[in-house]
Amino acid sequence: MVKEKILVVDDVEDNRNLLRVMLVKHGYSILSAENGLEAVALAEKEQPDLILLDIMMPVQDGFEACMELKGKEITKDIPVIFLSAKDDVTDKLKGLELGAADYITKPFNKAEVIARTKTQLKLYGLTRTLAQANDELREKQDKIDEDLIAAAHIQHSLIPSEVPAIAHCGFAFRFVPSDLSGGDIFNILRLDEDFVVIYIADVCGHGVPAAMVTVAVAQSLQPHGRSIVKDTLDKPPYYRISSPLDVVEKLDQQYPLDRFGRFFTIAYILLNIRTGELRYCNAGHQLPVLQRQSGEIELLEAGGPIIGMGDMVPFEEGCVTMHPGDRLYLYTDGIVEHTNPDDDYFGEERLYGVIAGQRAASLDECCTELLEEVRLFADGCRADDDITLVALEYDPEK
Amino acid sequence: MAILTVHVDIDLEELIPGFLANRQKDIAALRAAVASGDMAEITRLGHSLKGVGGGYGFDFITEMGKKIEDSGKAGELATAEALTNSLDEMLATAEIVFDE
Repeated sequence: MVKEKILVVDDVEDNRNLLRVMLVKHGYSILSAENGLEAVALAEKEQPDLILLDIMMPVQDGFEACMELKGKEITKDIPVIFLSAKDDVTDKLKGLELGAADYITKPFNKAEVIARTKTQLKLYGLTRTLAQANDELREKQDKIDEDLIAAAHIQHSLIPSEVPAIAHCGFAFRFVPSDLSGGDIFNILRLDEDFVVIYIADVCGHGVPAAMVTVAVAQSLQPHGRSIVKDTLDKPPYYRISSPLDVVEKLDQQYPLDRFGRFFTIAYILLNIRTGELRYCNAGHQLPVLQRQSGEIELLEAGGPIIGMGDMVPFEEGCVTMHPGDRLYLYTDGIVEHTNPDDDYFGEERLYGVIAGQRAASLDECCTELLEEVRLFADGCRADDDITLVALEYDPEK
Repeated sequence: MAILTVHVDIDLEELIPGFLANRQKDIAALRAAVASGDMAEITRLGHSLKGVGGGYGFDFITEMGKKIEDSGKAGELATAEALTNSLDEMLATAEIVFDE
């Protein structure tokens, strides 16, 4: 084991010798200096583990030396024990004020010297261990933060970056991710000439685990090759579009709760853009809002429980017909569960209110207005979940 | 004068000759300071002796050092001179015993 280094500073040779003999006997390695100036230079060079510092010395006294040591980055943390006469109370106080850890009285008592030395060395050792542990913890935290940012990027890459151009449909969406990856996802997929899929899902939880399940769900719902969204067949028409009920049931089979320890909600919409027929299945998700041209609002309620329950409650499919000018709004609970300083929730009623109020405005303007209303309501409160909003306007003339 | 017996830790045996030689230097310095009436120097030397004596087992050096320091602070030159003489004699007659 490496010997701990002690720097002994005293202008009286016999004091230096005495301390040296005492301390060497206890296994310490000793450096000596005669005055403050030498002490500071030696401390910078050798980085001792402890400094025993006399006060009255020529050239530079102990107090000045201590101030210098505490002012330099590489020596400021080295513990300093002042050597002072028994009756010099003012000296002791001044020393402590300057940042000294302790004092040893003169004339030296062997037991006192050893005891105080050992204590300060132990404290210093513990402080350094603590500092190291803190550094390691900070590194780990940085790594976690990096991973969260990476998860957020992955999540964002799954979401459409721009509004798709699909005949007969106008789309608008808003996605405001929370600081922690929130597990929201949505997509708009053109399956063929007639059919468009729109889905919005919310994986419970935050961070990397939720993000990973989000990726899995997005993968399950991609429409290429053999997928649960659109299956390939050996004979014409060579593919079969799954009904919303099929899709939700398949998801429920593929994502039992004990697979990832996570459930998710999803609203899955299949729209025939030629006829306006909209089939859907809502698995535990916020009820999609269908706003007629007249302003009347209907909620799409057919569906079942959250995904992952294992077929405890059967799913049902619903069907409505969209007429020209009708609008559909899909959203996640980040909007309705947004809090304000009074701990109130934004709630569905406010949501419906904004949608109703914006009937005459464009789809995009309504989305902007809704997020603005949420922001005003929040009154400075931070969102702790992703905010996701997807809107569709059916317009066969387009 | 009574013989002063000083008990010194055996670990310090090698340091004693140097220690005693330095005390002789201190005595000489004190005499010079007294001669020139340098109270500050007398105080400083007294303070130094006060701090160094006891650690080696020479309690009388610490005691005398304190008295010399006080006389220096009080400006009592005659007292300082007397104390210096006493200290000189005590050093001359002290018997050293090394303890394990």
